[in-house]
Amino acid sequence: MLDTNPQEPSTQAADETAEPAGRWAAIVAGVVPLVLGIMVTWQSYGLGLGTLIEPEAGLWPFCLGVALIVMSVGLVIGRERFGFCESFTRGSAPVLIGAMSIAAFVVALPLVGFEIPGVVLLAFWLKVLGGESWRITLIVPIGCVAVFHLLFIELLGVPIPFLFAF
Amino acid sequence: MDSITGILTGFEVVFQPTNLIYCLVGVVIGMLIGVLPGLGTVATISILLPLTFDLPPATAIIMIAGIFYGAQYGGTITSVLLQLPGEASSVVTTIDGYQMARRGRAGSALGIAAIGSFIGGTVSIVGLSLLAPVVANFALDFGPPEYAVLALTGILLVSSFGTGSAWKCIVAAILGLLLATVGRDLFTGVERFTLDSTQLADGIDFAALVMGLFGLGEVFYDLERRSRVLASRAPSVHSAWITKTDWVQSRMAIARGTIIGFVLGVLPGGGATLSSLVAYAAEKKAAKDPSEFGHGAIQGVAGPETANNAAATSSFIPLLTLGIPANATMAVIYGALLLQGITPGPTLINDHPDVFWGVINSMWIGNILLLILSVPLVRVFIKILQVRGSIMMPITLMIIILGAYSVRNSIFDIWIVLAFGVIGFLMKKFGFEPGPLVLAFVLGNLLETSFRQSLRMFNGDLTGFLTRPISGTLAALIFVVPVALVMAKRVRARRATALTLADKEYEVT
Repeated sequence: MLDTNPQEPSTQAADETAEPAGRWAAIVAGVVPLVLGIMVTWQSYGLGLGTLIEPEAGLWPFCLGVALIVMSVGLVIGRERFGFCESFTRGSAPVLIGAMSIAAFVVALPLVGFEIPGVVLLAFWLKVLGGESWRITLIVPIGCVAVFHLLFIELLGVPIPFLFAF
Repeated sequence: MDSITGILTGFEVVFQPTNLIYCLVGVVIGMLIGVLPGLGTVATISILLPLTFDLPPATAIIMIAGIFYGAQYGGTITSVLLQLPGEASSVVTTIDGYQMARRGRAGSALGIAAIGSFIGGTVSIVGLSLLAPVVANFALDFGPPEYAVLALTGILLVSSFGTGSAWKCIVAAILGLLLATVGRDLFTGVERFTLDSTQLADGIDFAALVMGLFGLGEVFYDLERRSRVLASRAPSVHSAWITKTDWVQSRMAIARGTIIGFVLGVLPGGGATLSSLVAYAAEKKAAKDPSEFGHGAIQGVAGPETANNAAATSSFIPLLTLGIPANATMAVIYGALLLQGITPGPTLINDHPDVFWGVINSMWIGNILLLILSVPLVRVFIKILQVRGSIMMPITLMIIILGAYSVRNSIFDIWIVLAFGVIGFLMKKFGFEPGPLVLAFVLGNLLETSFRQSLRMFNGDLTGFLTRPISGTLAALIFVVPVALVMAKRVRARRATALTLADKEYEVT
């Protein structure tokens, strides 16, 4: 857009290794907001639109829903013209596993306090997702949880469910 | 209150020892987190937001200003040493900054960036102190129609000037506006899109949303990227300081960068990014030997770094005087102010002069602290850079989770963070910018409320927006700017083809 260096890295400079995804990704990028737009429009209609003088709760989200539908149809038609989607690689699987491990942590948190799930979560990320050595997998989680315990519970007084008190 | 008394009040606030300490702590942790590759200013402020909740408003904002400057400089460090820009506004810094580092001049690059930022920031603060009261005064007459159109203009401009496809940015902005409608309707009390959850009746918590979208989203994105990119080694740096030649070479670049940054920063829509690009282009034009650019020209670091800091400072003007954040970073600061019970807008200067002037002066203090700290601490931060991502990421993750919990002591908020972390990751994969979403989310309530109030004022007549002078002008702008942008692109493309054709003819003859 401006007269800058032709070698200028794109804003995705850090992700230059990312592969562009095919047309299916571009279609998904349009269809998901489209479905969302239809659902919102439907729901807002149910909330009641009212009139322009006396708008009900549904009017504003209804307008947004319609706008979303229009824009998403544009995305489905225009596909790649509206920018680049990255393809999912083998590296995407750890993200799913990572997200699930966080979910497991949140489920365990109110049951047994944050210390044990915290150590497990950190160790899992270090060893399984990070490929670190056993030494680091042992030291870092215990050290971190101890520091966080001191910081959040003892110092800041945040009532995080916990097991041990000093 | 005139500006001078205001500035003095501000210094009184900032120089209170507690505030100074919080500013200092903010700069240090801002740098500490900001230096982690991949975590830009917005992500850093989002992650550290919970730290400020228990503080009094002025102190909280002073600390955030410190975090903001620290994070920005942290991003500069990674741009220069690893060619990893934390955000769009430091992308141009990587071009010559990284080349300088490869030629063993990383210290000069980091030093000139700190000095340029300081000068750009300082001049910008003076401009801000003079200009902000004038704008605020002008904006006092704004009614709901003006605010509705202003908020809409802000969102659309951010979408069209932002990085990535403007179309997708607008889709993201609409999603943000929709997320803002979740919860009880302010006018009728009807619950909207709460999925029958009592926790959603008060709406989605802003802090949880940004921590998920920017913080956790980045962690996920990095987790995926790590399997593709090999860890790079940061070159060694002894100190961030410049030589006399460095200063002589770059002082004009700093002067130009300051002006470019201040002017462009006031405009909504990624002022910092745009100004860093314009400053780079300006330096290349002004240079005697433009071929040096891209091979470690110090002006190529000094100009853009000065400009993006000057712009970052002047983009506080629309936030503090109109209540309209100009970019994603300002949107997060806007959210932080709202959480403190302060609504930025034209009345802020009179209702909370301590906050208003405190913020302005704390920026200056933040800049000074940054300059003082960056020299001795640069080695420490480079040490952090050398800690492997696979160790830093889980720790960041833990900070995000516990931080999100501590905002409202709610486990539900951690779920929100997780959900938005996944959404943020997917948005990045599918080419949607999370910035416009957050900006629209924070402006959503203002936009809907003022839109509905305006409809009542106009008796349901939509043309009312066009007949009032200020809202009418702004509405016209919404149409003119995108058209002008498209036209400018076409003209440039045509000129480029004409030039290549001329070149070919020249070669032939």
